[in-house]
Amino acid sequence: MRNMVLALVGLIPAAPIWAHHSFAAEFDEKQVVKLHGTVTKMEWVNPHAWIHLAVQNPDGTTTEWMIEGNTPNGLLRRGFTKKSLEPGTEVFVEGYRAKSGDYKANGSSITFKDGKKLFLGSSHDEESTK
Amino acid sequence: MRYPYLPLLILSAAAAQTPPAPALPQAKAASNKRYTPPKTAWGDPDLQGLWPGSINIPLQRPASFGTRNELTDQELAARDAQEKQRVEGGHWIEYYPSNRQASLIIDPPDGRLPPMTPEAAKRNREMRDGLGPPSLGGVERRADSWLDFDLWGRCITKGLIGSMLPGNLYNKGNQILQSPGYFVIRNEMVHETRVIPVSSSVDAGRPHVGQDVRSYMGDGRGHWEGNTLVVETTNFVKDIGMNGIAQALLTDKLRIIERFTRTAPDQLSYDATVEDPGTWLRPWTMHVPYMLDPTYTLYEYACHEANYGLSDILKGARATEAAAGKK
Repeated sequence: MRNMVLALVGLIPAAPIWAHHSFAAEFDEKQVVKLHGTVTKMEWVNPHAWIHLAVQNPDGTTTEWMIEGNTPNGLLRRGFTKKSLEPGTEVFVEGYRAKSGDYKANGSSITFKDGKKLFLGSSHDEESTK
Repeated sequence: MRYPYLPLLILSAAAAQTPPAPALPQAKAASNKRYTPPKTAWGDPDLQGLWPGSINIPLQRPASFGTRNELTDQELAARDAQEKQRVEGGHWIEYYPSNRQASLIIDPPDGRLPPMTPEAAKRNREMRDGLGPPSLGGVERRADSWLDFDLWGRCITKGLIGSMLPGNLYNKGNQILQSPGYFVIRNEMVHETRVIPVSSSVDAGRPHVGQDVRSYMGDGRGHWEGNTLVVETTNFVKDIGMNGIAQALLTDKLRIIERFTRTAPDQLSYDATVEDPGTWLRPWTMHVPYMLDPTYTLYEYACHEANYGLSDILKGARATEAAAGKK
């Protein structure tokens, strides 16, 4: 399955209330997106990192999505580095689409092709278990 | 079912996003007034170090607590469970261990912000802000301009109180540095640095700058009272948010008295009394039990470099309005 899925579902965790900006003003909690695509680049920028994802549509065209992540500081503390999402990496993303209608979403989870989650086994998690 | 794997994915994603819980802290140790902190080479109490606000204590406590400011074991567990739920549903936000202190506010004794002046209440009702809930009192609020965002949303500052408040998001690092005649505090969010002149037995210090000179973080002056550094800060600009949330936009009458006391090798007692007669009917005081964490790293937080959120929110507001117009 290599396509873009837009769906209205009520099963994913509650949309975040807190962020640097109002989540509710920027994103639509009712518009859940589930994307399967390939990382084209990552903007390691403040106040939020953005992952660019090439998502192939059912009609064969490709859409470039931007997925918002945490601040680079927070990513670093969770063991995330610039090497964590190299271009060409295939990922599954869940999130909430921007109200603007742009191909942007707030990422709530990222899963690699082998089923590993983005932060699983990160240095942060290891430290937390000590 | 169209997405049969979805529940599994959700559960596993939530598990992956929630760091294993460290042991909850024990009851807050009573401040050890008799502790004598180490001295700097020039003889001042040494408060230097990394004191991150990685602590989960809400600003206010529920009205049902009354004057009680310590959680029971059950309440502490509930607070921590709520924090984990918040992190799971969050925006890759950081998990902060819960503290037994019921609220940051210790005065008024009920741990609640005092009532606002009528003018302040009106000012805050009328905020059109990209922060906070998009509706207040049933009225939909949408940003029309970049000016509708508060100073944090625009990546300028969280203000002094917001910078010192612990918990709730990320980048809560604080570092204290001292040199003869100066006290420096760095806040990771939003890369603030206050350089505060401190008077001493050999340096009478210097008066505040004139009333016409105003800034986001104000003009601070420090002096020692025993082992406690007391910092008085005035000369603020108006309309500084308190915590990046729609709780209060403050006035230029703001005056903050902070008290920094090292009460153990790894404990820093911090009290801040906030006076703003243009906002609240009386002053209030918060207490933060900072803990030393020499392993913490402060990273640069160049918040302004790609603040796409503002344009996304403005475009989202226009798209919402356009969609409503078509109905």
